[in-house]
Amino acid sequence: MTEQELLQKIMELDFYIIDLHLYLNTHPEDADAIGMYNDAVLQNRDLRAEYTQKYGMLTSNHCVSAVPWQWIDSPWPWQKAANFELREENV
Amino acid sequence: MWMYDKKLEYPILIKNPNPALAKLIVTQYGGPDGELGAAVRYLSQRFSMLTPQARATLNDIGTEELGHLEMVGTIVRQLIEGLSDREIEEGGFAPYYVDHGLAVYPMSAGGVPFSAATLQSLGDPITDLTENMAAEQKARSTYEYLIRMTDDPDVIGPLKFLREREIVHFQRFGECLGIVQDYLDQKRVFAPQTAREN
Amino acid sequence: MNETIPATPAAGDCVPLETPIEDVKLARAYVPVQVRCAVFTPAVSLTKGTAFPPLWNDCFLRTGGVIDD
Repeated sequence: MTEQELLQKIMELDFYIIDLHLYLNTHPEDADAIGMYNDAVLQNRDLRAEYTQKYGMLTSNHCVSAVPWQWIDSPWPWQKAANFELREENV
Repeated sequence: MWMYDKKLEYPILIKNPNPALAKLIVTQYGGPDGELGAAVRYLSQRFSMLTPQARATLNDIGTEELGHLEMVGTIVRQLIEGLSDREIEEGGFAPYYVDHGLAVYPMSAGGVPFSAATLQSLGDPITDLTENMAAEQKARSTYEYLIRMTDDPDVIGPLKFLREREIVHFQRFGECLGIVQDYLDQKRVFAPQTAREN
Repeated sequence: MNETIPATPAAGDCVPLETPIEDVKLARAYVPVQVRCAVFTPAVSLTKGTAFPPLWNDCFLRTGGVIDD
């Protein structure tokens, strides 16, 4: 997977997790949904670990850094170089 | 407290600069129905909210709104970065430019700086949740108007995403309203002086 | 492409909201509580803006200004 493909997968899982998370806040008894949520979190952890190891830090406070300090590296999320076209056809 | 995740919630890559469009979209950054107002509203209301479900919902939707604020700021910046003086003038962007250059500033499409007067954190949980449902509808409508103002798919994609999130947020606040109403029905027989307990 | 993962347990037609809404009163607003049916895959969820098909609403007037009666 390229960096962009990996980042897209992480974005997809992160978003799925967010939407399930908001659902669970008002449906705390839905055990199956909690299972889906937990599976997604564990899968996402692996992908994020891979991303951090290959390309750089994704979250403040939870990622290790190489030398020199990677957190300040470009691109930042608002810059074009950090983004890509998301089209339904690519999915 | 908040951590920062170094990625957008939804990718934004805009190929065509458009200062006139930026001037409109900035309203969802600092305008009356925009993401900054939503974030501050929900994150303020959470302190006095009742029931675990509603507290969590305010906390987490408020947090997501900060991510949306970032997205809108990104759209505005990508639409204006690198503009020449002539593009600034021809795009009708000169008034914004002389006040803010090519920076992102929280204001409405009409140029009104962000104000907390556009939001309320009143403490009565039914009132606050109803305010929030209205806020989500206002944001949805504003995104629909903005989507009508452009044909650029690079901009429409993220705007449609943000619009859909408003619909989902409305549903969650609506569910919280039911939860809080049921809770209060059990807890009191008549209107209280203050809703005190958790 | 197949967008949805059936929720478990597999059932017939899943109604995605509580029915009926019980115990309603005057001077109150109610939003039906969502019932989870099938969900989109993560990839599709991101393009649609939600993981829940019944909450996905792409319908609004794309062109034109005023809605005339």
